Parts: sequence; structure tokens; C-alpha cells
Amino acid sequence: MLSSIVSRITITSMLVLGIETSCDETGIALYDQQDGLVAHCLHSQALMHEEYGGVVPELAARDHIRIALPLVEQALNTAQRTKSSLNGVAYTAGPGLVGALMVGACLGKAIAMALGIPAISVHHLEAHLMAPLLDNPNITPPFIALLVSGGHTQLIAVHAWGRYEILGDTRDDAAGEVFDKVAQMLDIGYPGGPAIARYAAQSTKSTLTLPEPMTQVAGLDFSFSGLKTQAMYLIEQHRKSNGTLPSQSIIDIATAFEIAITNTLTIKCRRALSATQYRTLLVSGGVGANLRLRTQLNQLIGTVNGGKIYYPRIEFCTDNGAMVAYTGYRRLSAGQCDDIPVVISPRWPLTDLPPL
Amino acid sequence: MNTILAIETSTLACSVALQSNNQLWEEYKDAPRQHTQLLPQMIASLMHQAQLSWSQLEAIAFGQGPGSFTGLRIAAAMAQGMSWAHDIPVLKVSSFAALAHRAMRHALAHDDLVDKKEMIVGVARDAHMNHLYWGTYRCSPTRLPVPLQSDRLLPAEEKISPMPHHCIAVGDAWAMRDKFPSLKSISPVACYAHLLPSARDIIALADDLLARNETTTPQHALPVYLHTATAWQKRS
Repeated sequence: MLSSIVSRITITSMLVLGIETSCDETGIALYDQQDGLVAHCLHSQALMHEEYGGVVPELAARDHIRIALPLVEQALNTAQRTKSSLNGVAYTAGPGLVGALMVGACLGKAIAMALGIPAISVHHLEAHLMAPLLDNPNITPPFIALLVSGGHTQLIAVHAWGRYEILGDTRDDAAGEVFDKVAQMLDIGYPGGPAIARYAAQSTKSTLTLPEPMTQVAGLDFSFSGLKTQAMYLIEQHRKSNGTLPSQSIIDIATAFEIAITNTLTIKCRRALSATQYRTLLVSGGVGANLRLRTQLNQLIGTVNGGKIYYPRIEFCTDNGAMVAYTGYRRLSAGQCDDIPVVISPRWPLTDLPPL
Repeated sequence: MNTILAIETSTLACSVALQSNNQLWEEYKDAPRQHTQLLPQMIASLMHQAQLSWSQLEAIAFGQGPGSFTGLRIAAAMAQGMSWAHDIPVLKVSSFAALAHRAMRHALAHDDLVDKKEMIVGVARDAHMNHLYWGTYRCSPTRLPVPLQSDRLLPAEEKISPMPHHCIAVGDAWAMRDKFPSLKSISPVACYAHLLPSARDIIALADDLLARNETTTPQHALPVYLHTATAWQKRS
């Protein structure tokens, strides 16, 4: 019964509600086929989880169910649209925390069912890949994507939309995770990315150096746990010889650490471009907001004949509803939608997606 | 009789019920970890059988808990989304009141031992993390379960107040009395450890709530966990 309603919808104009609840950010947005992104609201739980020293899955889910629906209302009010003008609902169905994903998926599915409009499961990483398209809808594959956040560090060959090949992945910690941990060891706040960048910005070059992991061996995989340990030794050493950690040491260590990570990421991007002969690089995820990384990758692309580079706007580097609404819009426009059951996939390989 | 859709997923049982025009439809399945997959189909199927459109629903009810945290959020999120879409009021029903109601139905249908005029029901379910969910209800064939005290979370070892000898026991904790020694002091006349709350029971209680206008908004359709956030250890 419901599927027949779905198939009768003709696409003249489309307004898609996007729901993101895969981790510790509740993101809600509205994407309109004609007007583009018309609203996006975000509630971050980062401060709550900081007290626990990391994301507590149960508390994340509890926050999502309190916040998500009020944010949907807020988004509609901002955009001055009504719920009856919605044409589709997109929700992140994975990868992510199972309890957190379920909240957004069930809420989205229930809204779609009750309004008689299609629902579409969105892959969280595909949404990150599409985030730059919110401002540059003409970005077209093939290209290399560097997806670098607190949960992921991947180099992906985007042969076509929906046709992805993982070229490199982290063998241990994600880059963003290491930013957080080193910032925690330096005691300079959370999230670690902006905190480290703030200190590193006070110095152009560090008197210290940290290793650039796995750059001396072939391949596109990453490993950051060794770098984290090296940073820890350095911090302990400075703390011991001074009794406390002087602010100059914080600046020097933050700078050395940032340089080591951005150099590593840049070297791997160069290798991925050269291995595939692709000339376009797309950078997404929270670490993609780092200015030193952006400067280095811009320089790298400057050396590629006909090279182009794309980033999402800073606020869409981290998790958000806008990228989910947009990705859902793209897949719904291609005639795809979910069956009736809500299926969430906490471990959903990007390579399992259908072509678009 | 009001037109009400009800969802109950606080335990491994997944159930949906729909009341309309003096008729009741129900779908019920014991299905651990399949609630999200089953619920939408069950709901669509009942709406279809009853030939109802969403806007004809007068209220949407859900089992608020106590129970499985994830299960409670599934029911709450589904109730939120459906009620919000059509500005339908929400009815929050205790999953323990529903289980007491189920026990009463079972007693009336199967068990001659029970004093059928008035029953006291002791609802006890394993709350994990070494805790017990505990609720006490009074009900009769003509009166819906009324809580004698609010549903609560107790440490496994904590004593519970004495229960009358003619009480009925319901809930899985009654089959784990070694884990919950306080339950050993009670000797109920009937014990239904295997029973689970169902959406049909939610409907019975929801109907009464709606008659008394005790509705809430979709935004306030939230679970009652009883376990507060203090159960998680903060960084020192």
C-alpha cells in the first residue's frame, strides 16, 4: 500500500528533511530542489560527553530523542515551510552508534510513513563526500576524496557517485581522534582539532619534530597511534624538565604534531592522485577544517596539471543534517527509496552502496 | 471508544494495536532485536486492516517504560514522528501498568486461584546492572490497574515493602529470585514470570487517559528510563 503511494510521486519540486543522529551531533536540515539548503539546525553534545572522557552511546541516544523533533520544528520555522510540503525524509542509517542511529531512523521513518512520502537511508560517509556539493553542486567524479574526522581516516577513489573504492584506511586511531587525545594530554580543551590549531597558529615552525607515520613505506594506509605515543613522551619530557608544561612547549608540541599529521595526509593524497591519475581532490570531515592541512593540500593541487580541490564550508566539515538532506535528495531524485522496514547498519561498508 | 494506535516495545516483544469502532486489531511478535524492522510493517498493516487514514486517529499511545532503553526509544521515536505529522496527541502509558493489565487478563482467563474481585499485582523485571524494576498495582475486572506506588528502580539487594498474600506476580524477575532475594519474601498466589506487556494492554490504559484528557505533545513523548545518567561514571 505504502509503496504504491511512493511510486506515484512525480518529481517537480522536492523538499527533503535530513536527519543525522549517528554519533554525538543531532543535525536536522531541509534541502529544496529549487532553493537549495533552506534550513539547518545542529545540536552538539560534545560538552556533555567531555565530562565522561568520550562519547557515552546511551547518553548520546537519550539526547537525540529529546532534541531531534524540536529541531525539525525549528528547521521548518526557519525555512517558513510546513510539514505538509515535505516530499521525502532522509536519515543516516549507518555507520555509527546503533542506539543513536535508531532514534533518527525511527523518527524519520515514522514521519515519512505518516505523511505518505518516501524515506531514504543515507550512508554517513557518502553524506560527508557530498557535503562540498551543498555549495558546489557541479563537482563531478572521478576524484579522490580524503575523509578525515574523529571517526574516520580514509582515502577513497570516487569513480562515480555511488561507486567508491577505499584506497587507504587507518589501521588504528582516526586522525581526529588523535587530535583530541593529544589536546587532552596538553590539557588545552576539547574538541582537540581547533584547540591544537589555535596553539600551532602562534608559531610558523616548530623547533621540535614528530614522525610522519607510514610515509616511508609504500601504500595509502594510515596509522596514528605511534604518533600519539611519541607526542605523549614529548609532553612528559617537557613537563618533567620544567616541573610544569610551559606555554612555549605547548605551542611547540602542538605545532610539531599538527605538521606531522598534515604532512602525512598530504603525502598520502599525492600518492592517491598519482596512482589513479585523477586530478581532483575533495576533502571532508572535521579535520578538513584545519587551515594548515588546507594550505598544504592547496599547494599540492597547485602542482597537478588541471588540478582542482574542494572542501565543504567549515560548518559542514563536522557531522550535520545538511549533508544528509542533500544526499537523500540526490538518491530520491534518482528514484531510490527504502522499503517499509527500518534497517540500520552500524557497520555499513561504503562500497556496498548502489550506484547513483 | 476512541480511535487509538498503540506501540509497545519495552521488552523483546514487539507489538502494535489499533482500536477503532469497537474493534481491536493487534500484531504481536516475540522478536529480539527486530523491532525497527517489524514495527513499520505492523503499523501499516493495522491501518490497512482498519481502513483508517492517519488523520482519523484521535491519539497515539506508547509504552514509556520501564524497560529496554533502546526499545523505549524506538516506540517513542515512532510515536513522535507519527503524531507530529498529523498533530495527533500522544498518550504515555507505563509499560508496567500494561504488564499488570496483561497479568489481570491472564488471571481472569486461566487461573481460578485468584480472587477476581480485586487483585494486587507485583510487577518485577530485571533492570540489569544489578537492579530491579518494581511496580505494584491494584486492579479488578472492572477497574484498570492503578499504581499503589510509582514504578521504581531498586538495587537487587534492597528490601521491598510487604505484599498481601493474594497478590499476583508478573515479570521475568520472578523467575530469577536468586538474583533478587527480596522477592523471596513474597508468596504470590499466581506467578506469570513469562508474560510480557502488549500493545493491547496499552490501548486499554490509553483509552482511559484520553477520556481524562491526560495527553502530551509529540515533543514530550519521551521514555521513562528510571536509570538516570548518574549510572555512568564521569571522568575524575
